[in-house]
Formats: sequence, structure tokens, C-alpha cells
Amino acid sequence: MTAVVDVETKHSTLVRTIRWSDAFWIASGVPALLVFSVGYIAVLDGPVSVVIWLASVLIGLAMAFVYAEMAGMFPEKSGGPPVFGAQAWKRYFRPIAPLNIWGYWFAWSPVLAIGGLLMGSYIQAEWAPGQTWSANWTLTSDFGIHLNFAFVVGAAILIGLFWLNHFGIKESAWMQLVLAIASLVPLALMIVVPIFQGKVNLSNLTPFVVPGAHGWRVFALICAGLFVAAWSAYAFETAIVYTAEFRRPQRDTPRAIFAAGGLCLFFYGLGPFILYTVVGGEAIQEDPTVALVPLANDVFGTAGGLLIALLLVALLLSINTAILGSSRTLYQASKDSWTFRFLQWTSPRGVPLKAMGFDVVFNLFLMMLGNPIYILAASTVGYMIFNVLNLVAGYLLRKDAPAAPRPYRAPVVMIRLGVVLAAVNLVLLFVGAPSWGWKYVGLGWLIVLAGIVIYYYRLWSDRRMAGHAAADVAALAGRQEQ
Amino acid sequence: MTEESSPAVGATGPVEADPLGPDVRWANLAPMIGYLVVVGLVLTLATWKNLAWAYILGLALTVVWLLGFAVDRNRPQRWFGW
Repeated sequence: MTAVVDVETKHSTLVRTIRWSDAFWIASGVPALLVFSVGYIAVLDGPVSVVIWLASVLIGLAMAFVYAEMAGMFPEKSGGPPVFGAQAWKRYFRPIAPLNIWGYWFAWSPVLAIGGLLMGSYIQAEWAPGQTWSANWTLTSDFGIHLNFAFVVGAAILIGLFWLNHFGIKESAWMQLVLAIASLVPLALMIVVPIFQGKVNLSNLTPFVVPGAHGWRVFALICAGLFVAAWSAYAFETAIVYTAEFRRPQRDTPRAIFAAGGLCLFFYGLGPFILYTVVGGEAIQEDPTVALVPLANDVFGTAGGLLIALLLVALLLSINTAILGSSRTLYQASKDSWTFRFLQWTSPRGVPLKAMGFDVVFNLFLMMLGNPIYILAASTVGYMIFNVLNLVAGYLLRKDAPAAPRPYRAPVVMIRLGVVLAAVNLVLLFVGAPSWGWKYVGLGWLIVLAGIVIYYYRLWSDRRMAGHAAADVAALAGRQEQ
Repeated sequence: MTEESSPAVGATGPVEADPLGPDVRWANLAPMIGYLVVVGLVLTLATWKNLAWAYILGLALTVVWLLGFAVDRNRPQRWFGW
């Protein structure tokens, strides 16, 4: 019996091998998420998008105070802010806890699908333009199953990353460091160099209005921009997903999140401003998917192939950030009995391999849906649900456990501001999301709510297992009496 | 570069004590959860039909939600516990 417990323990534990700097490098894929939506938001909100990005990253930084405090309270837990928030919510209404966790996981996991599809599309456009075959089964004009060259390339990338990450978190952190330097340095230069070249043209920001909108529609479109920007600009909170793998969690946790936040403040605060003032709205509108390409051409004047290669590395970086983070969230959720039991299994190297495999399989399905921006909008529904619930959870933890040890204690004003930002995110969730399409908003809600169904399945499964175990013990006791 | 480490060494254990201590609840949040669902429905209606009154009502209800945290500061329960 003891041996069984030992085996279960051995195959459901993570290892403390990383420092805050490792988590910082793992989270360094977050600035690259700018690539995913900067063009679309620029088209939607025009020059106002510049302020939207800055506001979004500042909101993310303010929220980081709450999340850092929560993470320090649970140094044994991996999986990020929703796992800590679940501890607060489970005392009030248990289904909220899996909703919070599942929302967060569904926010991060589709980075794999979106990044894989974008990489496949770029590779096809640049190096395999003849690969135009496709097989489609469509339910409506813009919703269905699509198999094509981009899907095959994306699938190969996801499977390759799965293999690379099975070696261990320390090795993954080193891989991220290499990818980050290779992609973020050119991206940073792309942002800084135009300032010294005198290419920043402020007249591109005039007239400073949301194009083609009036009255409340302006408010709705600004909310729509903030809604999708949040998916990227808040995302540096992933640095505290690795709390249970930090050597000194109390010290490493706040350092990791604030260092990652500082990096994102630079990229998200300055990047969209430079893009819009150097390139202008019309050039971005031509193809919002590759909005950074005209900026790179303007700044460096280099060949398209090199730019695409840099973009591919940036996408690889962000996919790897997501695969590492979302698998830890699933792992801890499983350990805490919020989701399927099998997801807590770890390899002898301490890697949550089944959770990672589940992530890859789920995203292979998601990639078949096609259009990346709509997948992004659906997953942001999950992210906003999580942010609303988790910021309130930070407040609840202060109220319910004021004396619990807090290695990092956020200023009271930031905890209260967290509740105000929960309200802001609530408005963005309901006003901002529909501008990206009701179908995809519905899909987002459906997947997130599935988390509650899975939670009840897990409850039922645990009770059944406990019943079987009790019956076995009773049978054994009966035999011994005979 | 590679740091070999056995899962048994420095591993995070499977069973953790609740660092929050005894099961204390600040307030009954069931009304709040229902209230947030209503706010969400009003804001969804506002966006769907582009109704000015629904936008104003939804935003006003959101402000009331925030006030539910702030008013009556000296009582243990503040959210709809007035």
C-alpha cells in the first residue's frame, strides 16, 4: 500500500530547479504576443489603438500586485493565478473555482493553435506558395473544419515542441532564453531605431478618432480593442505559473512577475505607438496579419525572408511560453481535484507530460477551425472571466485570511484597485467581446463552462474510487476475520 | 547548463495544509454572483441592440457592484449584507 502511494507521489510532483530569472525568460514569449493582434486592433480602433495598448499593459501591471501576493501565499502550488484564486472561491461557491481555472487555461492554451497556424501560413507564403491544397467541411460561411498546409506545419511544430519540453523545466528555460534573445532583440531594435532615425510621424495619429463609429459604438469598439489587447498585454502574469518549481518561491515570485511586467511595458507601451506613427493606418490596413512587416521594411529595409524568419522565432517563443504555462495549470488543477485526474501525472523528470499532451491534442483540433483572430477572441472570453473572478479572489483572501503568511504583501490600495479593475474587465467581457463575432464568443463561453461539467465528473469519479477502495478494505477485513 | 534533479529531492509534496487557516467567509456571495449575471445580461443586450439606455444601466449597475464593497465599512459583511 505504501509502495503504491510512493509511486503516485513520484509521478505527480514537480521539481524545484529554477530561479526567478528562468521564469522571466520563459515569460519572455509574452511580448511576442503583440504580433498576434496589433494589426487587427489598429484596423478596428485606428490611432486610438496606441492608447488602448498602453492602458492595457498598465492595467496588467496594476493587477500583478494582487497576483504576486496571492502566489506567495501558496508556494507549493504550480499553475498560476487561477489556482490561487480557486483557493479563495472554493469556500464560497465551489463551481466558481473550476470556472476560474478553466477560463485561464483556455486563454493560454490556444496560443499553440494560433501560433502554429500563423507559423504555417508564413512558411507557406514565403517558402511553399505552391502548397494550396485544402480540405474543408464548413457549417457556416466562416465556421468549419479546415485541413491545409498551414495546419500540417503547425501540427509538426506543436509535436516537436512537446518533445523538446519533455526534458525538464530547466532545459525549457534555456531554450526560451535562446529564442528570446534571437527574436526580442530585433523586435526591440525595430521599436527603438525609428526614434533615432526621425521616422516617428505624429501626424499619422490625426484625426485621433475611432474610424467609422459614432455614439455608443465608439465605446463598444474601444472595449473590443481593450478586450483583445488584454489577452497579450496582461499575459506576463504567466511568470508566476512556476511558483512550485522556484528554488525560493517567496523571493522569486514577485521578482519574476514584476521583471516580466517591466519588459512588457516597454514592448506594449512603445511598440504600437512606433508602428502607427512610422507606418500609418493605411499600410497596416492592407494586411493586419503581418502588420510588423511594413515597419521592419521601413526600419531595416531587409529582405522579406529574414523578417519572416525573425517573426517565426518570435512565434515559436510565444508558443513555448504557452505550452509550458498551460500544462502546469492543468497539472495543478488536476492535483487539486478541479479537473481530470490523469492530468496530474508527471514524468520521472518532473514534467507534467500528460497535461502537455492534452494541450497539444486539444490545439490540433482548434487549429482545424482556421482563422486565428477568432480563436483568439474566443479564448479571451476565458481570460476575462478569469481576471474578473481572480481579482475578487485577491480581495477575498485579504478578508478571510488576513493573518496568513504573505511573503509579498501588496499595498492595500492595489488590492482595492484590483476590485475596480475586476469591474473594468467585466465591462470589457460583455461589451468588448461581441465585436469579434457572436459565434466565437459563444464558443468561448461553451468551452469555459465545460470546466464546471468536468469538475462534477471528477467529483463523481473520486466518490466512485473512494467507494471501491472502501469495499476492498471491507472485503480484506472480512477475509482476515475468517 | 543541465541541472539533474531527482523528483524525490526538493519536490513539492502531494498533500499540503491549507495556508488560509480555518474556513472563514467574509460574506454570503451568492447574491453577488446572481447580480453579476444580471449585469452581464444587460451589457450584452446593450451591445447586441446598441441601446443607449442599456449601456447606461449596465454601467450604473457595475458601479453599484463596486459600491457594495465600499459602503458600511465597519460591518463584517459588506456585499449585500447591509
